[in-house]
Amino acid sequence: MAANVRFDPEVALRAHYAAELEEERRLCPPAPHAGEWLPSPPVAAVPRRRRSRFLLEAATAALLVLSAGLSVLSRGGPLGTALADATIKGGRAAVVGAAIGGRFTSAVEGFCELKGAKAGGATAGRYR
Amino acid sequence: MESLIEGSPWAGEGADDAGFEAFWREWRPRAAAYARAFGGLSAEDREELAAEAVTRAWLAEGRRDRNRPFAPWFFAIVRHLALDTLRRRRELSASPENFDRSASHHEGPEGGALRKEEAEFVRRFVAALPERDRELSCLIYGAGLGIGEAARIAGMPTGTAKWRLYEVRKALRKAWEREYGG
Repeated sequence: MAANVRFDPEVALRAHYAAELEEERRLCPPAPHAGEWLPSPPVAAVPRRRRSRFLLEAATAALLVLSAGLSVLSRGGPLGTALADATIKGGRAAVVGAAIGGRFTSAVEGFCELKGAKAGGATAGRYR
Repeated sequence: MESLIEGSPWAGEGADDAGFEAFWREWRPRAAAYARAFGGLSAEDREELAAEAVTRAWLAEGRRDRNRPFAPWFFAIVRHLALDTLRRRRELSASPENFDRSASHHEGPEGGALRKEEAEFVRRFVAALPERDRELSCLIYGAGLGIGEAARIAGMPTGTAKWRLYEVRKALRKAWEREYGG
């Protein structure tokens, strides 16, 4: 007698999956709270236009290395003196130093800003 | 559902708890429902898998190509996790030969009982489908994806997907008629 009722496989399948989804919705536990998982998207989830900030860390590191090099030049010594002769006598050290100083300052500011933003966000945790 | 993603905290800057909560409520049940298509996954497996899929999708949002729809991308994550779980366990899915008709009993044509009976019949039929057919029908009739998107996720040509879906519907109708008379 059931066959007398029109049976549409597509409708039946849709109803079946809709019921399954409804059941999953009923069973769905609350979302984990901050601290139970990673609430703040990591580097990969940060929008592309903000990713350039992360380059500042690399830039800062590079400038620190350059600054260390300059300090070697300024301290003298056999190697330092030879290099200094070539650089300082050419009058370039001041220009380079000024340029590096300026960029270093902005890089450090960017770095501090980045660190501040990170500190302000939720702390990384674990999910599972 | 796309509106939940685009133009919301989800979409960019302020990935916050409220955004995640909304995302979780919307997509976790969908992931769990889709995971049912994979035989061999327990309810606990599905829960874990759905939670992990939602978390992964949330965290990977920055890498997603926003010119493409979200749902197929999300279900591909779920699928990957499901297959990975099954691969680890080396579990076999149910075969259609195991479709148990004996549990069915005819209660008459009256409304609610018949609907319930039909629902139970379809549930057993779907459970006995080969995994690929179950997954495909779940993506089409459950997740509401187009045939092309579903075929891509399931890793088969669109023509094959169409044909398999047709076969599933035909088999369901035949099974129904065999059970209740044509």
